[in-house]
Amino acid sequence: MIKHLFSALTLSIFAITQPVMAQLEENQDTTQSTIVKMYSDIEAFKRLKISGYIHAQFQYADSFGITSFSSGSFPSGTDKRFSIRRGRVKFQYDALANQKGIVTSSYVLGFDVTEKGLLIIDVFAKLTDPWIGWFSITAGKQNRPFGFEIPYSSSMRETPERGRMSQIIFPGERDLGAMLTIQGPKTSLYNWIKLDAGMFNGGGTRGPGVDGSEFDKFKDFIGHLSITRSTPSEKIKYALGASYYYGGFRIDTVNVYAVGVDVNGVNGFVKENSKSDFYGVSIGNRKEAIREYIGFDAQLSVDWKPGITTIRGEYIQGDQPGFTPTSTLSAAAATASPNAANNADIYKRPFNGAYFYFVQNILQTPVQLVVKYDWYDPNTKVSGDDIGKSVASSNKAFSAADIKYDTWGFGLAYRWDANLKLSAYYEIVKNETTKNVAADNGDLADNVLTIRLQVRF
Amino acid sequence: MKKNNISLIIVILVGISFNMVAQKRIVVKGSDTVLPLSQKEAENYMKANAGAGITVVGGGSGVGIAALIDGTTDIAMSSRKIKMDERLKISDAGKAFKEVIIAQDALAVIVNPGNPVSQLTREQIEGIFTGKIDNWKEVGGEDAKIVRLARETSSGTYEFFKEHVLNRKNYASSCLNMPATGAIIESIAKTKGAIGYVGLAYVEKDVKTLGVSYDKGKTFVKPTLANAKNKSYPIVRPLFFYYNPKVEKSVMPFINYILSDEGQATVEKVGYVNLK
Repeated sequence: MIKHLFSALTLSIFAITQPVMAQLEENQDTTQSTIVKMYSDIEAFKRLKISGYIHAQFQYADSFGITSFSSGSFPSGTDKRFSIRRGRVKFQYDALANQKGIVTSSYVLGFDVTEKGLLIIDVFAKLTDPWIGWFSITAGKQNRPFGFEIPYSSSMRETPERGRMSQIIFPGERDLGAMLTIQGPKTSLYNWIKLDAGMFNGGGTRGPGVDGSEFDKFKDFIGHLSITRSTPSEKIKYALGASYYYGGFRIDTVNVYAVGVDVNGVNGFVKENSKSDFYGVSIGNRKEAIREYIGFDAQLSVDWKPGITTIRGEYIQGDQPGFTPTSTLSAAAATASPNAANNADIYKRPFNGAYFYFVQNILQTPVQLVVKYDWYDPNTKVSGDDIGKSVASSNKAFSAADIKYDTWGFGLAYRWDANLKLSAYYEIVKNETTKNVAADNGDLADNVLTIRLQVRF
Repeated sequence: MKKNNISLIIVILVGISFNMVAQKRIVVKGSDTVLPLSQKEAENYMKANAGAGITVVGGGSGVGIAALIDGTTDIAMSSRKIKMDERLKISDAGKAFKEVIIAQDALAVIVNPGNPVSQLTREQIEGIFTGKIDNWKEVGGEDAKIVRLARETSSGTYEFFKEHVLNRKNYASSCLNMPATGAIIESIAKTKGAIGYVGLAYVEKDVKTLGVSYDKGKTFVKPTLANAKNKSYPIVRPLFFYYNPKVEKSVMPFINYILSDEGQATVEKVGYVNLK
């Protein structure tokens, strides 16, 4: 009897629990498939990275309306200003890594949103070989691979702006072109060595209305070879690099001058080609004014008792064809690389320049000190009172565009957290003086204090 | 009556919030090698301290240190020393870090139990993992192709093995990068020609550990806790905890517990080399 009762009870329990178990199993399957779907959605979402930063700042200049490379010149009658120097947003989508762990394609779209408007900063696609991951092609609007300071992000840099030379010879940092990168993947023995080499339009993209579109047939080569190593203790990291630039822009029907000596033995710009030399030459057959630079850069970071110390330096020299200042072209802009056809006489100048950073983190505190020195000599064949000296009528005198500048910068930053940084930076600008250029017969009052808030995400 | 109800609700709310404050969970994230040890230590610590809450999550040493930088973990577990780039990122985030060695780990080179090879010199291991040695017969085994298994590049174990066993040489491109230690064990247990490396704590009977020689074949030492402790076994590395000094007050009781006699006894029980 008891046996029957037990069997009946077992059957009843089975009858009751069986549908429940089936339901549970069904629920489990549904949950599992939901989790799998959620996981794949999250994985897809993780491949889209959104990052950016804002530079909100207040600046105080030594005098009204100065020409400045500290976030641009001040408007006439202005010596103080608030501005949004940068408002960057970057979207990056990385394709799913292949079976070898190689991300074979990435797409980047970057904007700059400030009070001046919306500017497209980066638009490029990067394709990597799927077999060994050593070779990548980056095509589109991208950073020019020259030296360290040009491609180094402004959100990481310890000073408000790049040096004067960097801003003049590579305005806007970016250009339109295609670049080949050769670097072993992280797993490679040779990951420490990297070669970037590309062909670019050459004009650069410096601001609103300057989109990097080509204006001549000439393409410019830019290459950077670098090594980066750390010691086994991971307390010292160092890097060395060499860069080369070869390119130029079209010489239209204009006079071309180069540095020389006139009939009276006075240094000046001597005519190399007269505009008449180019009469009748079709636009597609015109010659190129050559831009050629060579540069060397080095970086060292050491983690020791006083905190992490970083020292960086870069030296660049080369030939820069430019213009001469006019009522509409400032002395600074006259030696900048052009981004559009410019029917003005060309002046060839040999230049050099360098920058050096000393960055000291104070122990393990959020406080960081920076000292920077840079110089830019737009014309190494002339100095002092030779600038502006009268020359024979067929030649052209040196001008304010040939003045050398030395800049010292001193800064203090407080890194609140990974997102927020407050910094103060004072820049002392020393110009070469000459009694023959009225504006430059003494040191200009063009020092600038920048108080900046950086918010990064 | 109404007044009493309100008082009761306030008392309950205060109680709940007090409980929430008291039970602020410590998050420990990073190295998969350190994971089983931290889990066991956290389990024991929470048993002994009723109010304590610790969440332990893996992902790799790099993932843990990245989480320390962005503030999403209190402690980063790492099976390698923090890198210079990571030091710079921590500094750039206005943060500081402190380093504590909580245990040592012996890394065992393992093969399938059916593989007749039972010992290798460091040079032979280097040859195998860099691709110079491709067949087991070259190291005294059968005529069979070697299947090399390594951890993922974000793994501290991957980097330690490259640095200290491969003499900083590159892994062969044919090396299969496995997402976790468990995957290496499983694959080696199923594949006769496979070779890999895992922390001693992960070694199971499905795989065979190899004796290793660091003196060009004069002496071979098996990876055992005793050999690791008496320093005769050469592939031993420290395991680290990194934390922000700002949270020192909340994380130190747990760290001190791991460094205590009781915590260090757990280290050995789990299969790691203790510091005592």
